[in-house]
Amino acid sequence: FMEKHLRDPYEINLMEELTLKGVTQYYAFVQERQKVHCLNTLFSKLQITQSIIFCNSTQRVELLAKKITDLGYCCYYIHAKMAQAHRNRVFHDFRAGLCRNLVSSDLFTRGIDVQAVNVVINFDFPKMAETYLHRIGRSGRFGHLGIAINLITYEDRFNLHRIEQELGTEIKPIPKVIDPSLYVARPEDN
Amino acid sequence: QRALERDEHTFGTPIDQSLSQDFDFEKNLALFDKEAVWQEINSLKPDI
Repeated sequence: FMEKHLRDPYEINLMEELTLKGVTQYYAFVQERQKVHCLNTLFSKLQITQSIIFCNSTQRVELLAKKITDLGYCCYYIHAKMAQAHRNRVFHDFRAGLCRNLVSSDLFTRGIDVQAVNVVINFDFPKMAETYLHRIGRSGRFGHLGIAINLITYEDRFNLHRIEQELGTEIKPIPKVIDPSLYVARPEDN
Repeated sequence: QRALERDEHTFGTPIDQSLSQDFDFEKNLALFDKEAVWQEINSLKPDI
């Protein structure tokens, strides 16, 4: 039974309810110093309803949030070193749509359940498959579309390879044009 | 210390004109041959 039906028992045991279904996953190959430029271009090209951008440290969350603000985009941030009450307030305001972008460290224990988030960007690629699934995975509601874009440096290649293998998924190179139907809800859907 | 250096690489460049040009995704993707890198990684693994 296991072999026939479960592609990866490791994944299933960790997160029964999270799925990558409906999420189209891409990577962009970058150097560290190109990441901000790359992100800025993504902001200008993508039809973002709301986005969450993940970094691997609280320090980098704060630095990136400042950069994004300097670039002229509205941006909140939350990370593990903030008081819970403060985090709750920021997340509440983000969910209410007061701001389009949220920079975050790894806080979400059950995946993202903000309906309006149609773009997730891994500014820093995670080391663990479990972390990747928490960041990108959805709780599997039908018709919940989105794209995930991973900024990949040469140093990330082993993690990228391993996470694809462990999750039994494929992260494709970002195409020249991303089909809006993959992540932009049509008006009649709402 | 390494983390600090990395942060400097990532965030140290001031925001300037260069950002007004689009990042060239295709040019950068061409620098990473995923197929070839995967083969290389797989070849490093011991046969099970």
